[in-house]
Amino acid sequence: MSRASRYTIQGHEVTIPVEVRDASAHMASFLVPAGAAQDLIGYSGLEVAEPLPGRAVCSLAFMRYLDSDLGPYHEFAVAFLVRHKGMEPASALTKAAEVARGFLGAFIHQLPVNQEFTLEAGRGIWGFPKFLADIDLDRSGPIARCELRHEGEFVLSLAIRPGFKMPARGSSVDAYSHADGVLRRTAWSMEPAGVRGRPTGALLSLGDHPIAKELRSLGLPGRAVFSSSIDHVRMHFQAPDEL
Amino acid sequence: MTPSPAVALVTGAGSGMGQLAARRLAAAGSSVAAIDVDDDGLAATVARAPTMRSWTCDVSDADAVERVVKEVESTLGPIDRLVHAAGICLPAPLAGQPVDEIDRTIAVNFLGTAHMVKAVLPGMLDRRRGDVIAFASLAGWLPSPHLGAYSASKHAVVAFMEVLAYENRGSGVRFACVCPPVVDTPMAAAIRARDAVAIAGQGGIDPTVVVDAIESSLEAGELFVLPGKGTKSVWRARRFAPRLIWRQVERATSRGA
Repeated sequence: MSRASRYTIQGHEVTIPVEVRDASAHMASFLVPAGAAQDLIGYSGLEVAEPLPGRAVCSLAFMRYLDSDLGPYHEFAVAFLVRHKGMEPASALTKAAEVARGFLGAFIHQLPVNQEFTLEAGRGIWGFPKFLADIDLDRSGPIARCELRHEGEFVLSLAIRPGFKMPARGSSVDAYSHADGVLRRTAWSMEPAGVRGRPTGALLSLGDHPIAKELRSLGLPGRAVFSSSIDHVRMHFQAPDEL
Repeated sequence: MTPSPAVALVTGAGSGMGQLAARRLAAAGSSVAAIDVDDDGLAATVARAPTMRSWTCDVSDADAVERVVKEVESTLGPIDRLVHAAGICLPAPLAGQPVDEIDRTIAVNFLGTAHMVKAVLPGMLDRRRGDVIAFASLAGWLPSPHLGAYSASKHAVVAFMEVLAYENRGSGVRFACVCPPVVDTPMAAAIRARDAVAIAGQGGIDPTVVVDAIESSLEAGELFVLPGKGTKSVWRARRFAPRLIWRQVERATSRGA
């Protein structure tokens, strides 16, 4: 598979790897029924990871990109921990061991953004499921808040309480995306600074929008197992492999 | 949740806190007029940001400021938020400092604030809404060795903003005067490179802490924004025990000697 090293987006050249020099992120992870999660992402051909038998991990995150090759913007992500494409069927114990070893990917199921340039780049380069939405972020108090609206309709709000200081380790993840019948895998590396985390710590409210209904089908809102925040993160996105 | 202003004008947008404020506003979807004297810095700020436009302007030039504000309003629409972060700092002991450096510091830091406010405020008062955010400094409360000119210019900004806010109370316009301690920005690096004494031993705080604090002060209706751990205590100490600061300075310098 040939991979392009440059793309033209709205008349601007974007070169690979795409670099994010400064962004902040807040995330909450929920344990959800694996069957319902699998039904939701079945279209991708991927299989959800199961840290516990019958349970999958759904993560909700809001990001503020300040200095990036794709400009400044806000983003909200609905992602699932998945087993890598092509892995053999495995027992519950093996699947739990995969999660413990961190040998997993992240499937990006929804990825609303609030700016056109990143919308076009995200869809065009990686097939990320980006669409335009209103994403309000509030960091003025100790609790970080995000409110997501789509075409004027309230979708959800997510509030993350401050956690405890945690070691900031660089990491690399395979991000999977599925668009126009094609599954893609993108190598995505992160160097975070100012990482905080804690058990629970998230408050999710859902509206009646289809995305909110999807999350309800997973039993959300409910108690997050873990929530975290990153003050500053540098990231690199490579070109995708089509699978 | 307060919506992001439709149109914002940010000065000093080519680096440091002005750049961060401009990017935050653009990320949130505001149309942003990014203003600086540094063309390269401005180009970096507005890159890939279709909601930002840049204007090169020296805020110490009252006519240029008036011209640019008119241009911004005719291009982007009425300005809902002014973030005036443009400023300079030329550290030196006062006796040896050339007078033109003192002139320049006052012209950019104090007169620049007056020029921007005078150009932007009338429209806000007519519309009965808007945010006027001006950067002073904790040095606008605490005179500090080798920062005489800077400190004087920021004291002037503090007084100007306090009177401005008082005269326009109940006008619908919100005011914030930002008084941070040393912030980790290119300006702090330049001060350290030029003068070993001015901010010796003071680590800078994260600029994002300053920008977050502005939002919470605006919402709380507090004029003075004092971001960073312990900043409010230092500020109180200066007001209620004005000579304490010099004892501290004395101690710090004798330790360093």
